[in-house]
Amino acid sequence: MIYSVGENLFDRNSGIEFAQIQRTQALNSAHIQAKIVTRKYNRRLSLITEENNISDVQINMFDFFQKATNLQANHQTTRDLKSLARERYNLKYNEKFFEINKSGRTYAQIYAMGGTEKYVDKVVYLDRFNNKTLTHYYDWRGFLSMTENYDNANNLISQNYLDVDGNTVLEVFYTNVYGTIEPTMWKLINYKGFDYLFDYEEQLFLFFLNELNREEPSVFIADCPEVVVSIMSIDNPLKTIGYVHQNHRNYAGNVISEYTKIIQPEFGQLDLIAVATQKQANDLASIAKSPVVVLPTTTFATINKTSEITTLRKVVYVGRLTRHKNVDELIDLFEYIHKRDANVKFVIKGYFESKEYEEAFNQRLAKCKLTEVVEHLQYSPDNSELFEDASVFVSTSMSEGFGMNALESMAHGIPVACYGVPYIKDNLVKDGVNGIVTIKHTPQELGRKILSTFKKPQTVAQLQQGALATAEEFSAEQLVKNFDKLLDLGYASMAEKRVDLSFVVPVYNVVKYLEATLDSIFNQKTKYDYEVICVDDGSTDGSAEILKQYAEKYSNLKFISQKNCGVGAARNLGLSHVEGEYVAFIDSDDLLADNYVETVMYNFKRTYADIVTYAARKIKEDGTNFTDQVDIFGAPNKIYASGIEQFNTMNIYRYYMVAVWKYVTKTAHLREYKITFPNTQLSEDDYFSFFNYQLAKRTVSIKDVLYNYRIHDKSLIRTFTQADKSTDKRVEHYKAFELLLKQITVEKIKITPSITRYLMNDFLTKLIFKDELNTNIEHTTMVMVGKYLSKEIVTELQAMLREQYKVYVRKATVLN
Amino acid sequence: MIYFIDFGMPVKKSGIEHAAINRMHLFEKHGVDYRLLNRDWDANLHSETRKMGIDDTHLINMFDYYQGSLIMEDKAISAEEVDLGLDPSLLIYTEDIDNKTYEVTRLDGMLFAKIGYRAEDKTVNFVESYDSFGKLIYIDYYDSRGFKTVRCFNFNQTGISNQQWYTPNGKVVISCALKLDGNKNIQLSGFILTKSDGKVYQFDTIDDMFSDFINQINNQTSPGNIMVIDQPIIADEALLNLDKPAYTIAHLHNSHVLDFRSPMTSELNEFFEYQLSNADKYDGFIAATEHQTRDVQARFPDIKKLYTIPVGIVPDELFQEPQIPMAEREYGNITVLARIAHEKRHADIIRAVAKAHEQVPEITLNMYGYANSNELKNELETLITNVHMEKVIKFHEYTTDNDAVLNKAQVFCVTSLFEGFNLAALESSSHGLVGVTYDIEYGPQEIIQDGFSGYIVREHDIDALAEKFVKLFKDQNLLQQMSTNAYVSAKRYSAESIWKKWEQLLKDGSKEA
Repeated sequence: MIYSVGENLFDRNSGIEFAQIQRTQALNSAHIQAKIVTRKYNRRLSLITEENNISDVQINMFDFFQKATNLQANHQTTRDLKSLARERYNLKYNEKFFEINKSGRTYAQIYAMGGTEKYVDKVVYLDRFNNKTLTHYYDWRGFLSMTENYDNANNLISQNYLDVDGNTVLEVFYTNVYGTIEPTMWKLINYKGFDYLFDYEEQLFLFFLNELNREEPSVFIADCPEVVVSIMSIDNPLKTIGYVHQNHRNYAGNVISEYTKIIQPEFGQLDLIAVATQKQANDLASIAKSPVVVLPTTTFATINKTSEITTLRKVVYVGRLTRHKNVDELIDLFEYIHKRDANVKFVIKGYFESKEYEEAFNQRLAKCKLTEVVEHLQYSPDNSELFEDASVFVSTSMSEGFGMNALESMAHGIPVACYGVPYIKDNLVKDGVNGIVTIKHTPQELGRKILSTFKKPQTVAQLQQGALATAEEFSAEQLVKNFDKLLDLGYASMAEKRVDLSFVVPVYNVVKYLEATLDSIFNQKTKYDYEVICVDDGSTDGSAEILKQYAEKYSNLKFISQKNCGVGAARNLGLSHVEGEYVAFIDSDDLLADNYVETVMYNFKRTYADIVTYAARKIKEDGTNFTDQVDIFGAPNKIYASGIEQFNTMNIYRYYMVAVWKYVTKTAHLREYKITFPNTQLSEDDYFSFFNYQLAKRTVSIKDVLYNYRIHDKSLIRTFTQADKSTDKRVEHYKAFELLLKQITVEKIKITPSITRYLMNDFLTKLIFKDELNTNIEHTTMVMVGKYLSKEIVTELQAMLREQYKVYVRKATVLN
Repeated sequence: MIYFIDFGMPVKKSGIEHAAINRMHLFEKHGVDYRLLNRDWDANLHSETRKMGIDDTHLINMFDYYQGSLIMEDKAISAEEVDLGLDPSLLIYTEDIDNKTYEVTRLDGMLFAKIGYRAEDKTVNFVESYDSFGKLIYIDYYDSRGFKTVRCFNFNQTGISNQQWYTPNGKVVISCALKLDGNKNIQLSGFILTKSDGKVYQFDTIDDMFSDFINQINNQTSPGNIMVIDQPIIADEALLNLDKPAYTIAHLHNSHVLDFRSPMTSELNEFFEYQLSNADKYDGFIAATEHQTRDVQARFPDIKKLYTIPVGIVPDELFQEPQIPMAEREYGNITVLARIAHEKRHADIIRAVAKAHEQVPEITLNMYGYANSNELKNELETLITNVHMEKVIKFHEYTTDNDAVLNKAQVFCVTSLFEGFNLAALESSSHGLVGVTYDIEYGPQEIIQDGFSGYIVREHDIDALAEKFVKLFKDQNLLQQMSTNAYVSAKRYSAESIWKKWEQLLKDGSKEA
């Protein structure tokens, strides 16, 4: 995706916005996805994008958070305001707005949006002292978009930005900072489950850009200096480009300070700087911090020459009518030509920079007696009618960076007459080739040259051909080719394609459930890449055959088999084959939610955590839900500064997170600390999870339910995966316990009360109370514990055991 | 449906709330549904009402109603669980146990937030939020059931400038503003309410909004509604302006006249003046005693209907308890349960006891009740010292275990300026205490039957009080007889007897449907 990033779009756009629009439209028609991104809050934006035919290819930051991108309009008129309780209040219209009245007092005022047929702009609510207490702002598309609150002195204190359902998605707070009311805090509410706080709008903007980039690493073009800082800070974009739309030097030859943000940013760097012409690129190359490339902005489809007029019939100018563009000299030019040929028509099209200038311009026209001769057309995006029968396009501008309108003219086969100004002279209008250029910059000289050229029809015809040829050079195809080249560069420098997430599934005699499990893994709705490593642990019931079938069907299934060694060894074997950045251990009879990969990956990318723990739902053996009890086990959304911190909450909230299928881990973390499964038949997951959390840095828990674990009938004894060894369960727990304590001493892990409780609940109770209280085992165990842990801890554990024994005895007697 | 209208259910309850609680137990016992309509916002309302045994389904608080939080699952969170919007590794939490808050600072030391929690269960009470300049921007308050309920904006240290109330999903439904009025004072200038259908309504005061709310409730469940005003003023006008019919009742919870000795001409208690000035427009009034009913009827003959329903109810459990004979109680123990306020005239009791003490040295006076101001309490303490009764007369802490306190006492005393009923008198009498009281209205003279279960003496006659104390304590048989009579007399206020009176009102109310 190619994002052209700017501040805003306007009712009266300037060259920059037009350039963005044209670039985006050209790319999309060449099947390269492109969009325009704007940053400022603008409730009329949809009106503007519709007028410019770019509704589908435009994203605004506020629309994004308000979930209103591509929202269909459902206009709200002032007369039919839906929130008005007509049984209580009555409407009264005065010049400026509708009043909402009751018993002769005005309670609120409804204002219409400028330039619309009475669509609501805002409703201002008044209290009994006639203070403004609340303002409701409406989007052009008809929904309540933002509300404002005020303090005792009627100063703005907060704004709530709403989604179409009326929920607040963004809050902005204002305070008095050294005498002026400024926004000082931005807060995103419940964005994908979390709140985010920002001290500056740039931070919010960067967050937004990162969200766009996360969906798909993209190219970001900064079309104005104000957005450069945020763009430079995006995490791993495809490419960042700063576009300089105008001449970067002023008349004195110094670099305009505004552009230093692009050319020589203080902190950070753009990948590329782009300009419209080679000449400008050459000049920039010596002073820019980044490499400079040429990317002509203007482009459009070439149109067949529609007029063969080689005589001077109609002189046209299209563009903004501002003093800056030296539009006054156009009048002088027209005067010169008119005096010598009264039949020539003059048409200027565009909007004046101000009413005041328009009046001054018209006065000047009147003074030169040209009012009847010069026609002024209002701006519209379509110029085909204007160019249909035009003879020449004129410009008296001294500083145009790149003549966009001149180029459009050439696409119609109409030559351009202008002063020889840097960048235009060399790159676009070439005297005698596609236009008329004067070295002397006076309207009289230009007029003289135009008149003399048009005396020679053959020359004119040549210029017309030349104009079309020039337009070809700058066609949509050409622009797209340039972008393509840029993208190729991008691809080359991108990292090698890697798998995002690996599943490790140990399989032993689960033919009853295996297919359902595998289906749930392969039915993921996600844009991320994942592999599924199935380790067959010597199955004898046909599970291996099923795996082979699936391996044929799915290219991302890795099938490994080993002779029966047990689930811990199977998982270790799977882990050794993992290529993914993240690894998830799945049990072969459980079911994943179809947003498992998407949600887990999103949260890893967002937080850079080592472990993401989610909520799980228990299901009955036949796969149906429990209806008579709590069946979801999870914790609230939270980021933890360390795995130990999260581990400590386990005992407070009893959020079970020891099962290896309850979380996904960063592979690098496991490899760094060499965390593997012990080779025991039981409690191997307690061991693994313990070290995983104890050694993890940042971890995050999310309350999304992503996993369904099957509860087997208690009467069925859960057989070990190691079928040929029939061992006493306790021996296995004991082995795991001892290995754990050993490793704790090796890793020098400090024993906290949290850990003591963990040892108690996850190991000791299983050993000592599992089937019956066995004092022999208790003794042996405590001796073993004493080998690794201090006397104090041992005493503490013994005390906890005794307490637990009392409970056990009470329970036992009750059961009897 | 029968609705009872009041401010709310505060922790420190007045007689109105106590009466309501008694009544609620009665209705529950007989399986009759009712609703409490409350006006005021209160983050701890539900925890208090649940303590009183009121199920959430009976409670319709106006704010809960519009916020969509009438019935909520308890999901209270602790301070650490509040999402402050920043990565926890960028924040430092420091607990301040004395103030029950956590101070949260950024790594550079700048104050970021303060989280206050409730003492009982450490659940979040409020969160103060500060911007990067260290300015307090707003304070969010959390309902006891766990959701963010209101945000108070603070600006330039002038205090609250406005508030907005949320649904549990975070949508703003009510907001209010405080502004400068014509006299340059800050006042609450209005409420703006967005109802569930999206329409916006504006109200100048909370009572305006409450009137609209009451009307809406009545519209939803009409016909057949009975609306009872427990708290005067806040809904008086609303009941006279309902869109649809309802059986409207004003409950007089206190004396309606300042001077009960001249009931026909006395100044009216200003709290009831509006109701009584519109006496004929309500469907009926409730008074707690026969005497008050008689007086009100006489002065306001246009009243359509007057019900006499005592606000005190003696629970069945108490009747089933064995009666405690005087011999097993503390000899000479006079116990008074009353708020320490001027109208209770504790000074009279103190003087009477001081006098009686000359003849009955074992006499003691035990006063239970909280003081709104310490000034009066100090005055009374001084008086006790002046009459040299420090060892005899004592103030005790406000207690909720009245059973234990009353079961060891023998006599109680009432010397108030006026009463609406005096629940304490009923409670004491039903525990077998013998009452000695001034002949004031309304209540004590009916609860105590003169010469049977106690004595009624002339107002201001301290000597008479003292004389009765002595008489009782010197005659064990008399004391015991009157105690037995008191137990019997209390039967008039059994749940059954009181319920019959409510049944009549409920029947009349349904006839209107």
